[in-house]
Amino acid sequence: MDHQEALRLNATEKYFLGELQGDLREAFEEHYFGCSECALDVRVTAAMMEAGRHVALADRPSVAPVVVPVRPAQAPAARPSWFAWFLRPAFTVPAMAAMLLFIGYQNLAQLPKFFKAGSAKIEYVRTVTGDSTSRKSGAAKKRISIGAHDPLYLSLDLDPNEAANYYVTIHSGNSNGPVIVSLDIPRSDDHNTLTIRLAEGTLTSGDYTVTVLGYSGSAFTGTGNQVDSESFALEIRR
Amino acid sequence: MELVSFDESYLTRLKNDDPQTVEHFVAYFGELLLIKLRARRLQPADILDARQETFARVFAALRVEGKIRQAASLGPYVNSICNNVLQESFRAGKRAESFGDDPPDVVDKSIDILDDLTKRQLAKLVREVLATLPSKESDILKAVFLEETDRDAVCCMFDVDREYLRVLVHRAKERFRGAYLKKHPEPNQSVTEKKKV
Repeated sequence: MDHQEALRLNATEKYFLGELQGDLREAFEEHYFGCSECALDVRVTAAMMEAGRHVALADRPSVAPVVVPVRPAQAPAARPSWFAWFLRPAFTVPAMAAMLLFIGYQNLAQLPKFFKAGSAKIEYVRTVTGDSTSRKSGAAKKRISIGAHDPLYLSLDLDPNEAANYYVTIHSGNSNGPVIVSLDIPRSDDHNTLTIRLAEGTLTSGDYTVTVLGYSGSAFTGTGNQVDSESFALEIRR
Repeated sequence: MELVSFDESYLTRLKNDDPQTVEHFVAYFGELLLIKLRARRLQPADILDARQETFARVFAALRVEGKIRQAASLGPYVNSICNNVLQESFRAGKRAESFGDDPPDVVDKSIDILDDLTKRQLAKLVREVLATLPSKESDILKAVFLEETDRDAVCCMFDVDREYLRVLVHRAKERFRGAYLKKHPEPNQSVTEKKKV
């Protein structure tokens, strides 16, 4: 790689964004070790990133997970066993963890807004490690691996026309398994993409199923039309 | 910070163990090695080991007549030695044995590129840069600065693409560069032939 190519590729930016891999990364490293201009560019960017991290960490409390009160699910008459899971002590901690659900919407610093409801097909499930491949629901179970201190992001595309409101639940195991996390999404005109950030420790390694129910009315009563469901296997790396 | 050019006199002084030149060499390439090794997400101890082993081998090579002939090849040679160290380390699955005759006794105490004081000072510069940007861009950059945040997740959460991230980083870097170049001094500025930025 020569200097002009490094400039043409925006190599420095790609390097620090982790977009240079393999031979291209090695070629850029060989270049900046020998090119004083690119070495300066790399050093300045590294200093900015390191100082920027200091700033971002210092500002983190202002973008900390917002406690989103989850409307208590009323036990549906036909499924008393489902509601009973919430009362079990084993799920007290996960239930509290559910209070820490953070709805990421465009700007991490903004208070969460309610999302425009729509077709809540789960288009993809992503992880912070970059181990993310999108797939359509219905395919084989997706495997996700995240570090012990990484949050888990779940992204849902909501199509405005399918339901008035949505109720998202994450079950341990299949969709009949105990609810670990639940999130009520009332109607909104704002946006049709919902990103749920689950703080580290919310889930443990295991199999999970995300289900999205659509419902109308002012409050979720425990029943709704299943819009989509997707399973994934989560590995927490230690 | 200034551009550094390595000329033949620099190489000669380095081979002769001139203390100022050696110190500058270690500081300059130590920083580049740290950037390179951190990009591979190695453990801090492994980073230090690899960097130290690289320097040990480079200094050993400097003592071999004809091994490093041209000053211009100094940088790429350091990089290639580091690559060899990494490959050997990965193959062996353990830290490489150190070898080499009496490498210069220059102790590199820090694994961070910036010391705490400099980091705080530069954080102030970063804030000044961020303050000039729209709030959304500022928040995106903060998310990017957090290394543990997946870039795809950042794009997803802010509804932007990778190209947009690159542009943001580039613009922030250029703004930061001006302020940074004024405030971050280059060590041992008299050692090498320099060009002002």
